[in-house]
Amino acid sequence: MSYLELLGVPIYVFLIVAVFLYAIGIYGMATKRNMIRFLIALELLLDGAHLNFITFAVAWQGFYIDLLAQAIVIVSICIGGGVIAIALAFIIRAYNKFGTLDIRKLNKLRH
Amino acid sequence: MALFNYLTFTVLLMLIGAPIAWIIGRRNGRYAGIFALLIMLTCLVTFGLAWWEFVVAGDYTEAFFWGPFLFGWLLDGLSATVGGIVLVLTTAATCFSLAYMSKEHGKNRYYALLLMYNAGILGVVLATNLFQFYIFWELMLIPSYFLIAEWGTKPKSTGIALKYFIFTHIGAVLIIVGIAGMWALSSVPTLNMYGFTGTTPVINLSWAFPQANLAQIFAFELMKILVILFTIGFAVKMAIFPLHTWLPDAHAEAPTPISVILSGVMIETAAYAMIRILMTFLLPAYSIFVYILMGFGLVTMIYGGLMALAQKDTKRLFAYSSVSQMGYIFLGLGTAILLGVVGATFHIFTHALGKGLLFMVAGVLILQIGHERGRDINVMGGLARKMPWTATIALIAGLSIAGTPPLAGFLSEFIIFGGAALASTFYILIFAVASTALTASYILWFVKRVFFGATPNDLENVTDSPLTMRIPMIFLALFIIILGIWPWIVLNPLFGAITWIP
Amino acid sequence: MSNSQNRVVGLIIVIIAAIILIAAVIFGQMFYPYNAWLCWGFPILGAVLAPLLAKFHPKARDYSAILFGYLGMLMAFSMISAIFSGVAWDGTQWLEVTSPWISVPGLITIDWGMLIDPLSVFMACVATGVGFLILAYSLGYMKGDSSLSRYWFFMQFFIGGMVILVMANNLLLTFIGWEIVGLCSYALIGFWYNRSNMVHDDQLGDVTEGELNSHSGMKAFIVTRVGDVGLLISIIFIFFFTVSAGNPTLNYQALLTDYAWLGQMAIVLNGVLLLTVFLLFFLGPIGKSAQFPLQFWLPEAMAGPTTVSALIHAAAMVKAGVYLVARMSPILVQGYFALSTIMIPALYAIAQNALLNFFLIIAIIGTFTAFMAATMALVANELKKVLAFSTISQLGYMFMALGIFAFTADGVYGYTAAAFHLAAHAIFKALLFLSAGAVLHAVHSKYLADMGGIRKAMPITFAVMLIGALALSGVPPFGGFWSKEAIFSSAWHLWGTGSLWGMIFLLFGALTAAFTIFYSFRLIGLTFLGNPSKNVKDLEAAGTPVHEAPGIMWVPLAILAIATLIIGFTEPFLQNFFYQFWDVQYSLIPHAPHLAPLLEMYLEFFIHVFTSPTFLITIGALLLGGIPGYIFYIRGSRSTDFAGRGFARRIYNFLYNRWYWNGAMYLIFVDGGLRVARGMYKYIETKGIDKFNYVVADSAMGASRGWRRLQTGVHSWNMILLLIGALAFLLLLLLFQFYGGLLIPLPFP
Repeated sequence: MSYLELLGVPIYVFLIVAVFLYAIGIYGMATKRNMIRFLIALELLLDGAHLNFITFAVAWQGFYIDLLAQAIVIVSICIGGGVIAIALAFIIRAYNKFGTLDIRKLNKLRH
Repeated sequence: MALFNYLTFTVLLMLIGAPIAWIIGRRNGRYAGIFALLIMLTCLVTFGLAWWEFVVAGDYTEAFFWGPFLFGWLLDGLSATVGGIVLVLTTAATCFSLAYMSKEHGKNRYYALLLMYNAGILGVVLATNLFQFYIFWELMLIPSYFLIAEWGTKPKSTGIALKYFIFTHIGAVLIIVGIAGMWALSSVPTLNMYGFTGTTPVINLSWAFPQANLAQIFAFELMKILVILFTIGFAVKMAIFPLHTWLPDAHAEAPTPISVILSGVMIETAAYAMIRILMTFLLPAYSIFVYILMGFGLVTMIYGGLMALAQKDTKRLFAYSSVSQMGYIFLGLGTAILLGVVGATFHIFTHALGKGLLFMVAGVLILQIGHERGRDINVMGGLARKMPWTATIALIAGLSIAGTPPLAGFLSEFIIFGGAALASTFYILIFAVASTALTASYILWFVKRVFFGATPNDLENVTDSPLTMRIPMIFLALFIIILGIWPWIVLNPLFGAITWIP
Repeated sequence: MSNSQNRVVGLIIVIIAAIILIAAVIFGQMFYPYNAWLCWGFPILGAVLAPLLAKFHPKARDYSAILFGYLGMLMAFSMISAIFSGVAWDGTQWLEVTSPWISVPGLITIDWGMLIDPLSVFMACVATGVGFLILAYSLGYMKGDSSLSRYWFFMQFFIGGMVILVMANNLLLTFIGWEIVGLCSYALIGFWYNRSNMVHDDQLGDVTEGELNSHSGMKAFIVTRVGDVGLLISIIFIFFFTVSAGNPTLNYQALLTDYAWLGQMAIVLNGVLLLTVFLLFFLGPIGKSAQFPLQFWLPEAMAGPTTVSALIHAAAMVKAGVYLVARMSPILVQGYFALSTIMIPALYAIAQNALLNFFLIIAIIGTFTAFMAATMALVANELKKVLAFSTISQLGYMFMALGIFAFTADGVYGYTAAAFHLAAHAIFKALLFLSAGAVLHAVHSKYLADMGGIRKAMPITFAVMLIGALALSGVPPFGGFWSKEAIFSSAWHLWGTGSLWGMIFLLFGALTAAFTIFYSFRLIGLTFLGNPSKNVKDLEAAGTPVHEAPGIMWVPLAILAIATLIIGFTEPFLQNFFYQFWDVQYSLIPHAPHLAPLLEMYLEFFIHVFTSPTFLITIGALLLGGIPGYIFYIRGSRSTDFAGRGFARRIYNFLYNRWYWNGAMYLIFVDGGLRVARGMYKYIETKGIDKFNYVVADSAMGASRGWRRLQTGVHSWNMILLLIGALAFLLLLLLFQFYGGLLIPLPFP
């Protein structure tokens, strides 16, 4: 079967990388104790999703690139920036309250 | 010719009267009570007008269209009789509350809830649309929960009220599932109870099964499932063994006027609903379960009677007696024969009168003697010379429940047993009649222990009931006697109305 | 008014009342058809008016009660002429006066109807006549009682109910009358529920007398209710079979003429159902007429006022059972013969067998009860208890007669004998009870040991009671003799047909007759003769000596005594006359009634009686019992104490404790029943079913607690669950597909 080649590698390599990014992101979100690391993992997850979109945008019709998908990715990146901002605000608030960046402190609905 | 919509007015008056009673009673609860009584009497009058229309012109209907749905009220022989006794007993209970609740707190809330409760029960009986029926079914449930929780015997009343609520609500859930099932699966999707004519099958599954007889078989199976759902839902409300455990606690610990209404009419509305809903639409599937239903009725009769014999508390005794009497009604309903069903409906009537009166007697004892000692049978005795009216009324009501001619209770039991005979269920019949001896035993034991014999010293100063309690009681007792001698005032409408059962 | 003026007024009233009564008997026609309604209507009206009139003046209430009782009696007696003049018999049916009551469309119409036929009119006359005399007697006996309104209400309601019972034309109405009399009996036995003196009872221990009275009333009601349950079941069965035979009815005459229902019933279960249904039917009379095994309520029923005992437990209510059996037996006997026309021979033989067994069982129970009760009366220590046992015994005789009547070819003879024994017994037992009431009133004690030697003080009472006792014993020519004679000759005929049961019935009947005369003499001897007891001497010393009853009380006694004598002397004639009547109606071999001229009929009867072998048996029994009784109690003066030892003592205890049956019933049913109920409540209800609710509730809460543990709040946990959920959803999507709106697994075609 012949695949579209992009930058000298078959297109499915990009998808595999995207899956890797997903996996790292989920692993990081599930395991990391530090809130900052959690946030970084979240961003990696988002990047994986973006890469997925871009890959499919390119690979859709062969020669034609789906511009809508790329536009969506750009919007998503912006939103991701917003998410980081708010998440950092949460982290600062939590740090002020608990004195630590340990995410396990955030397990109660009220104190 | 109807001047205005009598039945709508009746139900709405009670519903609107509830918040007004609440407002009126905020300063002084007595006014709420008097206002509630006036409302109930007015409702009695308007219901009487509607009943008159029914007598003169045949079935009396008030119908309102809401989109494609038909809501309304129907007064035919069945709902007129059951609705009549509902209204009479609730009015009597409201009058009874005036004296009974005179020292309680929060009277304005009580009367408001009472009016809503009465509206709910009457609405259930008169409803024409299944959804409307369900709304009023729940409307019966919720005020009674609050009534039991707040004015019942502390401190266990909250728990008991919750048990009552959850039990009955589960039954209501089964009913709504049944209703939804009927609506979804029927060939003519309608919730109008009178929309089904004789030959249209209720459930038509020809869109799922191309072969006709396969569709019919599957439809019949579905109908059987619906019958089971409905029956269990109604049996929870009627307190049939083994789903009866909520009743003794709820009826014993509720404030007595509420016990009167609970035992007297509310549990019987389930029987009414069985005739209206179950036997109208699902009669072929229902007829299969005759022996099972009659068997459960018999077990309930005997079990309730035995439990009543073991009680030392007046209200618990009457509560178990209600369980036993519901067994009689269930037996009659289970026969799926006209005589049995009419007997069961007539028994609704006579049981409402008799058990309502007995609970009122218990209320008089509680009011005159005290909340603890007035309920303990072992402590009381020889009260007939202190309370002659109450003793006579207790004897009349008790003998009616025990099935003694010439009182009304005998005829209703006789007709039920006649129906059971025609259903060819001989062994059940023999045991059922034998259990009437059990009923007579615990009633007579109660009467003898409480009213005859020696009076304990600390009860020397007991006086008879106040007038507002005595008048409704006398009225109901007279009604029992009159009904025993001239039963056709109730029987003729019933026989005329229930035409769809063989 | 002075005493003599009172007496003159009383005499005038009695004479006028008697004249009006005789006029009513002769000219009764003019009251038709109202007399059928009024003979129960007047008593019930009187009952309802009694509490109302009491508001005006107590005397008005008392006299109105007597008036309504008299009017009821008039109406009942006025129906006699309808019977004899032929108005009431239209060739095939007796007259019924009806009014529709309950009608089930398409099924059955039950009327409120009165049947005017010899049996019902006969019973109605007995009930209202004796009832009226007892009401008159009550004026004096219950004087000064504080709850007379209640008394008059229930007494009159009872008489009305009894008349409804005997005159009803269908089974349901009879049952209604049946329960009404049961209700009044309950209320009247427990009449003095107020009394607070302590007494001792074997079953209850030391209780107040009021408590004992109420308990006795409740016992009567519940025991008879057991019988009523059987009766009700059988009525419903009869109803069912008449429906399935195509002619739904509960009317007696209809049940007689359309007997197909009997055939249908006989087929089921090879005749076992027929026997069972009618045995259940007979359970009602067993309860009401105090036969074995439900006989143990009657002695306690003596706790009520003596007039109540006289009316209810001697004259009327206990006769209701006999009446009911007499009412149904012609229907069954006719079925016995007539079913051959509609049934195949094999099934017909089964039906015949079942019916024969039914009558045999009636006769066995009757004989056994008669014997049993007579033995209990031998040792009873209370005056009224002796009379109570004697009532049970005589009722046993009546059932024996009714049972045997179906066997013998001359069956109607036995039927007539039972009916006459019923009437005669009602009168002389009422006489005995009322005079016992006078004695109790005078001596202020109910024990035989407290009486004795009061013959000189109460001569009239002694005379009437002696007449009653002789009638009870069956000494010729008093009333009891003729009917017992007839019963024995029926048993003799039965023996003659080869059945050994005839011999057993005859033997036990004769023994019972011997016991009867023994305890009658014992009764008279201990009460009136011999030396005065300590109690009597105490009363004399205290200034209230034993004295004769007042006029209002002894006049009814005298009337009853005269009636006993009249019935005694005319019974043969009347018996023969009624025999002709019932023979025409109930005999299966149609023949014209042969009404010989009066004197010839009378002589014929005498010859018939005195030359039959049973005459010797009867006289022999009388001597067997009479001679020892005379020696012990009338010549000698034994007391009520029993001095025997050892085996004799054991027998004495057995008889004294009423064959231990009463105790056994309490142990098994009352204690046992309560134990079962309480045990079930404790173990099944509270620990079992109610527990189930809490099990459900607890498990629901446990489940919710378990599920709540998923909500740890720990973030990584949530992430893992998110991942798992997403994977699961993906899996679902891959494996399943949507097909026409329903979710169907992929392999489905």
